[in-house]
Amino acid sequence: MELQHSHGDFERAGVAVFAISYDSVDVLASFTQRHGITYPLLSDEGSRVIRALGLYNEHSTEQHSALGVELKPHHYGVPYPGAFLLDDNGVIVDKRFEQNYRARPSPVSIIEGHFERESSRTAASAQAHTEQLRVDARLGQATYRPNQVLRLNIDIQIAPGLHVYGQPIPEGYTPLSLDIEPFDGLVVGEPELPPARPFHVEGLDEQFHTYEGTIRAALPLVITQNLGETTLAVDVRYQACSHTDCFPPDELRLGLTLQGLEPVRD
Amino acid sequence: MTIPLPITLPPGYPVLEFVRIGPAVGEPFPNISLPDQHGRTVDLHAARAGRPAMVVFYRSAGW
Repeated sequence: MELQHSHGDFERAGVAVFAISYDSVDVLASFTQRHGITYPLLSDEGSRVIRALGLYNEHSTEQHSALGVELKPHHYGVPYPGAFLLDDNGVIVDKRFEQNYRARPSPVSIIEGHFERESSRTAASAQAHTEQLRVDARLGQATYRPNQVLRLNIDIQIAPGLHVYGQPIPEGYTPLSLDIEPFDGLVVGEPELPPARPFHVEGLDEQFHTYEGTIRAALPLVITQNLGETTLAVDVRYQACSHTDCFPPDELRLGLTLQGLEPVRD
Repeated sequence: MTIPLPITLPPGYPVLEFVRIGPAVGEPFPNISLPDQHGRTVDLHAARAGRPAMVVFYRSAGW
């Protein structure tokens, strides 16, 4: 259903959408009618294609017991949740899969992640700046559903003439880092940061890496329950230098508020 | 690309290498033919009609 909300964005990008599950045609027909689905829902009853593609979730048992859920017949046959992005020639150019079998790949995060395009849906955003840095944080949606994978986009503008340390960096220096203040139910993935450029400092043997100008980063995250209105407290830590001096390490904090929605169930 | 979750998965939860699961980036997506919600047989690549495509695998529309 989330995919339907973003379908307009996919159409505008000229991307065809197909969704595959082990449901029968009847179940899919009913779902289509109830939610006004306009793209193909393909019926892989018996999970034959799911199996043939190597996507059969063989870890149902461990995943369910780890999450304290009693295993039922309908739990078998599900695929690992995720998506493939194909180019004009049908070649796979990107693929995203989730560890948690309950995770729902967020179409907004996929479209933004691959196409670097902003979603047309109402966004949650925040800005903050110091003299050295300006940070714009944006989530392509102002709502979340439990276990939906979200993508927090963070654009960082570094003041001209300055650079900011990145990884890898010798100990004692503060590399650029992006974090969200933890809370129960929040799971944050590895930040996506562009590679930093090697930087040599006169008189120092060690190898530094830095960023300059504008960089686009992202933080994948999942909220595992509906907590109602929730604020993500984003923390950006950095250390900026000019050609001659370094500023002390500093940090910027931003808050993005999201509204929780119930998971889609039939 | 995969979105790995941090190490705070529940104990006993298997951590999977999705890079190795399913067709790989750089490979052509296999030809598949399945019925859609209207009972019509859909050949994925034919239906794609030369456009890029997003093929989503999800748990179920029923639960």
